[in-house]
Amino acid sequence: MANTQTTPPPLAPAQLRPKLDPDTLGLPGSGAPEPFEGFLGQDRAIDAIRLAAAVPHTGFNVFVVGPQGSGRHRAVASLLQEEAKGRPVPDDWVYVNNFEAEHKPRKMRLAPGTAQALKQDMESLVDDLANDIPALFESEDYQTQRRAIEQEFGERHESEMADFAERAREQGVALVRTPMGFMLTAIKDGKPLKPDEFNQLDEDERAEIEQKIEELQEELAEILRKAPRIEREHRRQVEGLNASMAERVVTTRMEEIEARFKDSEAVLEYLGAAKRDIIDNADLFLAAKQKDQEGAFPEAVKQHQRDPSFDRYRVNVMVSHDPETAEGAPVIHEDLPNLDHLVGRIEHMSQMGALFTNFTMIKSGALHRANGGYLVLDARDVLQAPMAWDALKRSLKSGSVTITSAAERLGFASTIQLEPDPIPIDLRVALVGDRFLYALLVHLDPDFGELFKLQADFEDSIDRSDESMAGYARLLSTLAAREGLAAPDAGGTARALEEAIRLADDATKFTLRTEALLDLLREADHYARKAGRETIGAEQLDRAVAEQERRASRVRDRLREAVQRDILKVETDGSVTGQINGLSVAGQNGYRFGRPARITARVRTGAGKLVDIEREVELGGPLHSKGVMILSGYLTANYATDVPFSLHASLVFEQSYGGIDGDSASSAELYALLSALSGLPLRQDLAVTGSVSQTGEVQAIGGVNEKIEGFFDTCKARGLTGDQGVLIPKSNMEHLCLRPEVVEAVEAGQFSVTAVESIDQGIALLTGVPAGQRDDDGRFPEGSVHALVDARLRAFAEDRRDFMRRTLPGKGEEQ
Amino acid sequence: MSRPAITRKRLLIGAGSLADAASALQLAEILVLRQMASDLGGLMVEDPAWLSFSERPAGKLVTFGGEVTGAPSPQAAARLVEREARAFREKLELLARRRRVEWSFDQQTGDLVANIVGAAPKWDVVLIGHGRLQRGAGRVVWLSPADPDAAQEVRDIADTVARGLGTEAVAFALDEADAPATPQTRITFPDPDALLAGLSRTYAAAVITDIRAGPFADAASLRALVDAARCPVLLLGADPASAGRPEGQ
Repeated sequence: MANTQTTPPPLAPAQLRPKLDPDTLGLPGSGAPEPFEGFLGQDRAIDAIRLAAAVPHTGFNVFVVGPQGSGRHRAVASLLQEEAKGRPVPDDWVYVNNFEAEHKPRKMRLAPGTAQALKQDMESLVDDLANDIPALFESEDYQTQRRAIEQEFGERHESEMADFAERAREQGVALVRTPMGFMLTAIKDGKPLKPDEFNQLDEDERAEIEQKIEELQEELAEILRKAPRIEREHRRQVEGLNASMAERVVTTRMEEIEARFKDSEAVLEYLGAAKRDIIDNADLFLAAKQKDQEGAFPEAVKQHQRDPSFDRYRVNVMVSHDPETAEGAPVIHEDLPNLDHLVGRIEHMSQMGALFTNFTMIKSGALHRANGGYLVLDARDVLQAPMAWDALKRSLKSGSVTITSAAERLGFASTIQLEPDPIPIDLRVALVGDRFLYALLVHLDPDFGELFKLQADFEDSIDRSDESMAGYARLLSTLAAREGLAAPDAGGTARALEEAIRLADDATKFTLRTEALLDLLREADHYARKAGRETIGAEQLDRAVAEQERRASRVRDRLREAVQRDILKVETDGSVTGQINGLSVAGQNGYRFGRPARITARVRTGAGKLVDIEREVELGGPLHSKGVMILSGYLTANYATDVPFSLHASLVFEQSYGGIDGDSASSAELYALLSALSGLPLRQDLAVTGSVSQTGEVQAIGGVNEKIEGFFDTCKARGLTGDQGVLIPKSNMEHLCLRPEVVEAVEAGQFSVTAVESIDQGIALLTGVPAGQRDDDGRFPEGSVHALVDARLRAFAEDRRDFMRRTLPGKGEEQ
Repeated sequence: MSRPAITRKRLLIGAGSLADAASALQLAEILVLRQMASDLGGLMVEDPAWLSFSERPAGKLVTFGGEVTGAPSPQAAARLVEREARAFREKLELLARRRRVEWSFDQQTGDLVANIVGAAPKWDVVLIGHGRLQRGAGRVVWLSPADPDAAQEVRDIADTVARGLGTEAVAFALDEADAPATPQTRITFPDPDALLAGLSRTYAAAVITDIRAGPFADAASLRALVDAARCPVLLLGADPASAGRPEGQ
């Protein structure tokens, strides 16, 4: 049991709110202070980000955590941009057709800024060849050579037929053409013999004729069978002619492109493959010419490279950086990091009811655009987008980007998909998120630690010191200038810094949630301009704070009204046994307010059960339940330890119909129990906050300012009596930053705030009776709180024993 | 004597089979497109000679693909001829509708060349169809007559047909005097037999001749011309004033 017995005095006004003197802020007498460069109080995080930006090894991606409004995104953007400027402009990447396997587009790396040039060169090449090749095949030179080949082959066959016909004629056989083929028949007097005439010939003559006809039939069949072979040979010669003619033209046009890219082996290899393909598919250009002749557009200016037939020669630029205009490596912020936006996608077109795609429909993603530089993503957005996180991890692990659709990843794709070459990536990812997400990833994703080795942890607040105060003052001025706001004067700066303390919930610190302060400055700027001022003063900031609170406080005001109208029962004077004013904090959307709540305790003989009614009806959270269970520990360890614990007690937050969690009311609950057990009434003009340990120490809680102000407002609405106040844990003194109104009331003796260390101190203040401390015999002083509680619990134990004796004879002595 | 240019543009296409008709229709369409023909006539001639040959029990034929197979029965042959005639008629009708010209069709029995020659007086131009074994274009061969006006007319048509087929025209002449005055591909032969021998070894897409002039005017010589050409033969001069002379004259 804590042994602090003396009751502490109320806190002095100076202890309730830090007061900053504008003259001590280090601001210049006139003019704006020197701009603040860098980031205040975030050395740990900044160093981590700088390391992530500079270290070359894989896996050193960074997860940036911190409270909202702490400037994480701005810091990441600024630091990465700074580092990126010193890095080389990364190479360009393109996809080109794989002429041997069109479903596997080829990637190609090019020097920065050259991808667009290659793309335009290929487009011009197609346009040029669309004119050159048809002209070539229409040229007299080609036509002559082609006709010569045709004549040569044509005449070969015709000569064979002519020779055969002559031989047949010499043997007295005629060749008769029929719809189905040729018939051979004997001739007489220059005319074919009819069947009846043939039958009139003698047998030998008929046999001879039939023999000749049979031989000639075989000969003719062989000649006719040769025709397809001759045709094939003819076709090959024509193809050879076409190829050699096309090659001349294509080579001439290609030479210019090859000269421009002579230093790139990959491009030269591609151009070679393209050349071969163009030569093999010269008919594409002839077909285009045919379409031209049927179309309305003048041939000379038509852009053939837009014709889908020539897609195979296009260059799909995935990412290109112009070294003339780019400032180092890219820094990409992807605001919508879904799967497609991250890794890219392959689009499809519908044609005749079927889906069609090719390499020109591959679109780049953020990973492509950030290649060679940095990619900044919001962690929550990535994790919420289906398959995006998985895709990001795979890309980082493999060091390359593979474009696959969601359907493919899930195994649903039933149509043939493209399989483009994965593009290697070398980049650094900065994920910005909150601590909860970070903790989840660390615990649940085994890959996370390997891929995000760095954590940039932004502080919530910075210690107050002259140095930090001066820096913060300059920072506020810099932020205002950046936003185009009026500059805060010394008074305004001091007021803003006081608010920064308040937001930190700690009088020894300034919050680093600068965005919240900036919002106040923005609103204050508006009031200043309305008032015709050129600077923001303390008055404007006061108003901004008040207006912000007013906008958010509708619920608070309705609750206060309910208290005022005695709908919600809260006593602010007198004393009641087993009842106390606890304090809780409620709020939403960043606005918090405190309010008193009546806590009551009832006791009787029982089997040692402490009923937390909130928990019984599932309105109490685990932390609240823990606090109540600690009370059991305190009671059982401190009172009537030599008898069974025979208390049945119940605790409840009266008129509370929403959830309750946290143990900040556990000291109040204990006071209520002690009051109920001892029979000593508790002062209702005091409210209590603080958690309690099993040894009776009063421990720090959160929201101490709001809780004090909540009770103050309730008392003020009824009229301050001068006796009202709040008991807080001593360890919360450092967190005090009360509203000036409260401080003024304390100064005027109308209200008090007292810091206690132990239950003994608190119960003495609340009951007016000393708590009592065991003497050497282990007994509490008579009439002390503890003595009364102890006696009551013993009485309960005796009552229980007596009951057992009455109802279960023979058992009572053992219990 | 100057000859009048063709003003009436009536073109007769004669064929013994669908393959023969198809090759002729291709040329006919070229002429129609270039307004050298406006009325089309089709004449399917069924040769009883080959029908009777198919009656021979051991009769065989060699298909265009080089297979030796049995000859069809006379009934099957007759059915085939009927089908082909119907198909010829349909193709002619389609062409006429496509090019918006008048058309007519007739079917006869007899020798193809003789029947065409007999029908020729009612037509300005006659086209004797002959299916070609090879698919390539070949050259357009025109037989150069002695008369310069006639030669010019034949040449003009030959050039037109050659342009339409995407090929070149070549003149076959019997002597230097018949050769065209202006430079053009020309081959000179000493006599008609040499010309036919040369023609039979030529890869020809079509042969064009004027039957009013030149050695190939009667049915027999025209038959020999068709046999040697092994491609469609276009006959000019088929007007009443100089109708094709009967065989032997």
